[in-house]
Amino acid sequence: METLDRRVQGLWIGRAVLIASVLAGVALAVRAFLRPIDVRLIAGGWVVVALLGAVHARLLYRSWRFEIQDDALFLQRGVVTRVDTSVPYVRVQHTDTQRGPIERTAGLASVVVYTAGSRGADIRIPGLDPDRADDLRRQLRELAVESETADAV
Amino acid sequence: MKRLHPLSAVRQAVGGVIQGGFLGFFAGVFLRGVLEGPALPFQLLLAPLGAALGAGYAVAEYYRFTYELRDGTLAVASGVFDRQDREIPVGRIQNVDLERGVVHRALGLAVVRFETAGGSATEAVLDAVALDEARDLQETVAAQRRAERDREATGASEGAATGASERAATDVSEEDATDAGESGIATGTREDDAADDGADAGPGGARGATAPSSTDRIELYELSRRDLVVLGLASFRPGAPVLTVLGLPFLGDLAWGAVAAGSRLLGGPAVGSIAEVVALPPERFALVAGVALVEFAVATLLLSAVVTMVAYYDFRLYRVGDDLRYERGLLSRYSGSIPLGKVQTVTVRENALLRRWGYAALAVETAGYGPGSDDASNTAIPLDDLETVVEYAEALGDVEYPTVERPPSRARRRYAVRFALVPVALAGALLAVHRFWIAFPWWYVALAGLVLAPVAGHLRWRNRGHALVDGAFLARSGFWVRHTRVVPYFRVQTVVDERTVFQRYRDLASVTADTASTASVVGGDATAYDVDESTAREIHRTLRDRLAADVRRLRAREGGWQPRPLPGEATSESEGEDEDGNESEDGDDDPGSADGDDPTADG
Repeated sequence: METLDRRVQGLWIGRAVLIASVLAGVALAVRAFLRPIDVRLIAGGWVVVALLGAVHARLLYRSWRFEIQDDALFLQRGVVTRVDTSVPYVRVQHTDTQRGPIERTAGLASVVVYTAGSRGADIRIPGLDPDRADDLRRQLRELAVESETADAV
Repeated sequence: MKRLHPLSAVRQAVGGVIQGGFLGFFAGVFLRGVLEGPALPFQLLLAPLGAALGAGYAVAEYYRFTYELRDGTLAVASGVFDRQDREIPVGRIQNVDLERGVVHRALGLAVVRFETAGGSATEAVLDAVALDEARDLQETVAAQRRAERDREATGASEGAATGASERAATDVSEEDATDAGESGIATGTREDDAADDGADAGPGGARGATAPSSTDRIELYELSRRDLVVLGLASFRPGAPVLTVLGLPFLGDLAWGAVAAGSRLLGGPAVGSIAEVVALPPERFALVAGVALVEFAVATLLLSAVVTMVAYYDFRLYRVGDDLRYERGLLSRYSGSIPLGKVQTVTVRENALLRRWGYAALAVETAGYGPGSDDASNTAIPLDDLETVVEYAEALGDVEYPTVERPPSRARRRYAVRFALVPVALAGALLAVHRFWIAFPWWYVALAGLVLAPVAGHLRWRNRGHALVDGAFLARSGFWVRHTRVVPYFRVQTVVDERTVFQRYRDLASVTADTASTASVVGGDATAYDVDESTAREIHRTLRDRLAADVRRLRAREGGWQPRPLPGEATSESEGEDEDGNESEDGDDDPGSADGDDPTADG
């Protein structure tokens, strides 16, 4: 089973730090305009959120697995709720590689697989090396075409 | 390219006049207030101008809206400034629905909605066309879809099987339903009572040399008056009174008046607003709250009954070729078509009350966007006894309805614990309110709810289950409304396993078979909840394997998917479709199998 690129952990930790900072900022604003909250409390809160986020990022990275099996793409991921998804090739409508601005700075890319499903309509594999992402997308497209059926719905 | 009915231009123009007029009026008032200067009656100038512009725009819109159904494509061109040209291949149209409001019915018009699987909104709306034209469109789409399918199947086009719009034969045949079933199923009736609908009763034109599928309109089911009343009384739409009160402001005062009257009757205070209520001491608060709740319940029951009965009045289900067609409604008449070849999921719905009496409902979901929050657009049978509904589910899902396997009993403990959290959380919240805000010494009463937790847990557990049968996956859940969803393997999209921390602790997992039917976004997925982890893996594996196998098999056979005869249809059909419906070479159930014989040309 393949794993994601290690660098995605950094990306996720960065996101956690960002969220912590935003929350701290909100708390500071409240402190300035509404009721005085102890600065140490805010700082402590920032540390806790950032730490939790970092731990979550690490655990999430370790939980991520995907594999190209004979009939489907299989994914496993999740910390609190573990989700295993099988995307049969006959159901793949199209695939995208996506690189958001933040992902680009980290040198990573995502592959998004679209199906006709209503709940699992887009399946996303984040944090891949861009070359691997392109390869994966091509692989999936070939597998989807091979298993082409007249009506994917 | 055709235009909409001229009366729709009139209707839109009237709307335009009103809207434009109002806008002009308000603009005039605004200007008059803003501009210092001579007090000119701006609104008198702008209102008629606005009205004229509104009417003009509406008429322009009418002239710029054209549509055409030709060569296997529905083309719609619209827009005054913003042109939009849309082409929809007929084979991709999931549903063709007709709606006739009171005004439409008076004028002999109908609104036609075409829905496809791509996109979250209706793809094309024709508002409005003549009723005959609307029915013709329904038939033509069905006929062209049939022709396409037959063409793919035989691999050759015989004569003019495609091409310009063809009228499908809408011969009415009087059929004897061999399994007449219970009160709900009518024996095959002649269509003459549909004369007021202006439906085609005459024989249509020839369709081309071979017509392998039936184009007769066969009535399968009719909702009797008695069942309509039962359905109404058993329906529960808490939103109904809320929306009514919100929609008609003076009803709010009426509601308060009712609460006050009820409370006074029981010796309590007369309250007129929320502020007064909150200020009451606990016993009186409880009294007023109790009265309000009871009155709300009564109002809900009455309004739900009325809404449901109006919506499902004179419900009929037909089969026309490969489509299921339903008609319903008292004030607004709705008619929808559900192509059997596009059915994603078949759901047996049993609400808690009807279950007791052995009733159930059947819903059929396609991939088209279905308007209507109460699933009325995909209800095939609103009410009938369970056996009949199951027969339909079996025919539509091509499956033998099995006994459902319940989750393991440790799941029941899990539900009890989860339900117990609710009164605890409520008590905690009330305690916090009591300590930090207003005195509420009765916070611990919420803990009384703990008694109900194990009962609720048991009920939830009892009404959940799954089954893996030849041809389909079954998933059941829900207490107040129990849904049993049948998903044929070849309709499965993705398979998802979910395990929360608590489920992992108990070695449980939930498995979902995702389908393309939009209703599953709103109504719920086909999920086997809280099964043993090894069972979950087995389900996951089976779904994938059977999906692959059934898709391969479907592709390999000639004619692709074939519809199965439904209960209520005659067994001797002139097209020679196999009655047993279940014949296959290798002994497995073929998905949606009916023997793929080429029947002789019909009469």
